[in-house]
Amino acid sequence: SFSGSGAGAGQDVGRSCILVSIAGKNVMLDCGMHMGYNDDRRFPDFSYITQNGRLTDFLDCVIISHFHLDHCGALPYFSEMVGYDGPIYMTHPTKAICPILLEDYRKITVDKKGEINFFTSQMIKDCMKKVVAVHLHQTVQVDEELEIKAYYAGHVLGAAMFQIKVGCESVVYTGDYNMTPDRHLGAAWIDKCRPDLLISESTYATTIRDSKRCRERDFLKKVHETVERGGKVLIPVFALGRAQELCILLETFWERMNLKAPIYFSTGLTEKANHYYKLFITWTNQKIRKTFVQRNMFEFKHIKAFDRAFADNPGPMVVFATPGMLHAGQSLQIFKKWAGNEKNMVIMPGYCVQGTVGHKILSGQRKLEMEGRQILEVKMQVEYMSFSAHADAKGIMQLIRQAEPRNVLLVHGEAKKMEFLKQKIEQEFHVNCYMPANGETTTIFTNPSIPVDISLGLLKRETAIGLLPDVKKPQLMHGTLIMKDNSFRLVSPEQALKELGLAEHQLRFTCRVHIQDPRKEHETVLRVYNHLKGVLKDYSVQHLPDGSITVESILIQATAHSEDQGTKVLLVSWTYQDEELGSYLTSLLKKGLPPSTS
Amino acid sequence: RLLPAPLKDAVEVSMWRKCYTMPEVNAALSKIQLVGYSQKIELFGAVQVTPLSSGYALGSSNWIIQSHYEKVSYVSGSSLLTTHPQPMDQTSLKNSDVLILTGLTQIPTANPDGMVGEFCSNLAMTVRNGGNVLVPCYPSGVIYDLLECLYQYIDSAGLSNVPFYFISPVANSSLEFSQIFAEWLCHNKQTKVYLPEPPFPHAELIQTNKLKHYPSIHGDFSNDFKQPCVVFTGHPSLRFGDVVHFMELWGKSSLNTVIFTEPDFSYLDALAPYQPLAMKCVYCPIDTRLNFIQVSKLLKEVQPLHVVCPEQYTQPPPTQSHRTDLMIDCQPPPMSYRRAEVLTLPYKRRYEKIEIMPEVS
Repeated sequence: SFSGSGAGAGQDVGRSCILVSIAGKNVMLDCGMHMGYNDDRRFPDFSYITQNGRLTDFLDCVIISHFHLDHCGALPYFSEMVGYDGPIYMTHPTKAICPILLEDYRKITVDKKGEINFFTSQMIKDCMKKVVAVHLHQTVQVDEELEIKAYYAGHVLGAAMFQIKVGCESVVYTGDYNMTPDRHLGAAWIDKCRPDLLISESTYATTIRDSKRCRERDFLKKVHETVERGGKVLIPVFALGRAQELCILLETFWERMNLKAPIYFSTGLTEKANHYYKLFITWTNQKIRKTFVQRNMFEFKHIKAFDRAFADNPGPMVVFATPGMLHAGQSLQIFKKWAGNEKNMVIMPGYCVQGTVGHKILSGQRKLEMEGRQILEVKMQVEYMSFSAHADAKGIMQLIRQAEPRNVLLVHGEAKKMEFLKQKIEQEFHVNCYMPANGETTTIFTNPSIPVDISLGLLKRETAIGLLPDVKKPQLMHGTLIMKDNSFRLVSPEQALKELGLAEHQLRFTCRVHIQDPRKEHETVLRVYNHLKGVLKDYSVQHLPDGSITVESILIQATAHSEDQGTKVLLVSWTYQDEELGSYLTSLLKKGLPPSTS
Repeated sequence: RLLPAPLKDAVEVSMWRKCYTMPEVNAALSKIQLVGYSQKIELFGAVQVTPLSSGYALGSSNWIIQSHYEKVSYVSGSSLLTTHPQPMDQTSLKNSDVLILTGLTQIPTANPDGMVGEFCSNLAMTVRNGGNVLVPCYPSGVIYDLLECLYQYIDSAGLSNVPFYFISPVANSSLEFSQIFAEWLCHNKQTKVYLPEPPFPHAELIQTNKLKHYPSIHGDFSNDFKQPCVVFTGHPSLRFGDVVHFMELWGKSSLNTVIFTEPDFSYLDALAPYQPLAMKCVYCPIDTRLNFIQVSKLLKEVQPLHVVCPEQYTQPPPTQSHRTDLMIDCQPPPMSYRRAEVLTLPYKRRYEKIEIMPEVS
């Protein structure tokens, strides 16, 4: 059995952090921060794990699915400030990009906002030293019993789904994933690994997203219209992730339509982002991989580096600015500048967490309170176009179909929507579906079979009994199960006795059955023999020259009754191993013999 | 009969076959299933197959084939030297019933580091005296290490003004592809990629125009060609490819040097048709694969129950029959195989795997 507790992301999209206990091993899945909060609530609450003692002793490993801050943002806090020295596993691109985003986040929070109880640059470096990078499909032995394996998840560069396996029990954690390929990443894939539990994100639990083409057409139309009438388009993005997708989309469109308005991308992370995509091109989709030698899809002709001063330039432009939910930094600054003009437009390309400016304007708020109690009036157009690469309901069902889990647990979504999806899953797949809240523990019971080594000699001998063994009929077999340490062996009783140095004791049963038959013994024996041969067609019934009958290894002999000549006594003798057949024979014979036809 | 040796002793010419076509290559490649190191692959429910890093080239592998009870390790073309690929995974080879060993170094008496040193010094000397250097090579593999060596060597050896040319129909692809497989490279190169920076310094050589690559000698190359220079091109047999052109172009001058680094071909045989040759010839073959001393150590470390290897390794090489150290020496002695021979491996299975249903237990 094993249990999973969400320290974050249960029924919430915000910070992901899930604790799984499986066959005595404890694994932490993701360690994210919540972007809607500016205080302690942004980090998961680790105290309820640490009440068990030191984290390093308690946890066998930590796994990070991808570089989005709501999955790794609390990692340096967790490893350096709370204290954890064990292994942290993630894919190579995640290991490369995580520290960049963490440092960026740290800079905004500490340098620009002046917060104090936060992790330092050195802590980020120390944390990354504990990271072990893994390849796709590589079986990583964390220790002798625990192994993990990464699968491609799509979503962002380097995102992975992880299978955690201890003996016969396994869990698959999806992180964030996407079941349809997009312009620069492929689709998530997993084999029919039949985990006991699949933990899946459910960001878009109730949506069946319409065709990507429609969304793209819609997006391009809106951008085009705004730019045509001289307005400015702000697209808040994270430096790595959807930004690359939208850049490719706009670049292709600008090229096709021969548009002249400038497109900018905020500097800092951009050039680096480009390098990462080029060096980890094996993680992108097939089309990009096939053409990268001739042409680097991430080198854009129409998109240039942004300078703060450009925001005041007259005329139309499109700007990609970080960060993505308008909660701080450059995108928020530009937003403040452009918000007052109705010719301008802001397009939110992804999910916005509650508490952020992005979430507020998407909910319809047009008057925002900024720092220093200033009110900002939002006259610019606000659009939401979901380009974030998460699986929709159809995709989640598809993944479940691919992996065939025995149980499903939903995280990273909104409660009402998850409830709807939970029912669908239970109906269609007939498996239990859970959706725990933060801090809630879900216990799932597994029913594993026990693997045993059976001696080949025993197997061959036992399967050779009987004339024609029926594969569908269960067969009785005799053996001895030897349990030593963690291994189980099934051997013949003789071998077991020899190995353990025990003497064999034989147990033999003899039963007397009285038969009314005045004839000679050998005639009675013949009657019994014919009777048994007719009834026990599946067994080996033999009439031996010494006058006895054998049914398999059971012996039947007939003697005359000492006092009554009309009665014959049948001695039925069998060993302990043949108990079942022996008692059956006895009851059969007690019923009497059919009348003889002689 | 009219051809020079060794061609006149060649096998029946009528049995020679045509080389495979591109469609045949593509058809063969389409049947390949891609796997990664330490990935466990189930075959027909009977055995499990796992590739391990062998440390020899990008993606080169040793293989473990195992069932519940038997483990066979196939070790071929492995290296313990620290070049660009991921280091050899030795630990996973332990507990093998049988270890099949092949693909050892073809030059057990040479030290690869020494060879690289000779390569660099001969190259520098030739160029300083105004001559050209021709390096017949394959378009991937050791060339990455040679370029990396030269990158470090250039300034100190006064080679800053000498152009390097890499000519091959796949030159561009080879150089580009070498930079995108960080996960398969050694730790130092992986760390570079995190910065981010390309793992191989030939990127910088290309950027600063020190290294130029061309698909062939025709076209752009003929315009850019400046001497003295260093040319990396194929084929190491000297029988086809652009290398033939350069042999004929530079063969008459003793200022030029041809440096042989590939161990696959006997350089004297390769040069035979070009004789008489004024050009200098340097033989410093670089073969990073395991030598017999390393094999001994490996076998002691891994301790397989049985070792199986080609017949050739069970005795010293015919040209050095006194060298009893140039063979595989282990206890128990290895089982050897010959071409087209079937070998029965010595183990008998005593157990089989079953599962006890939870209801029974």
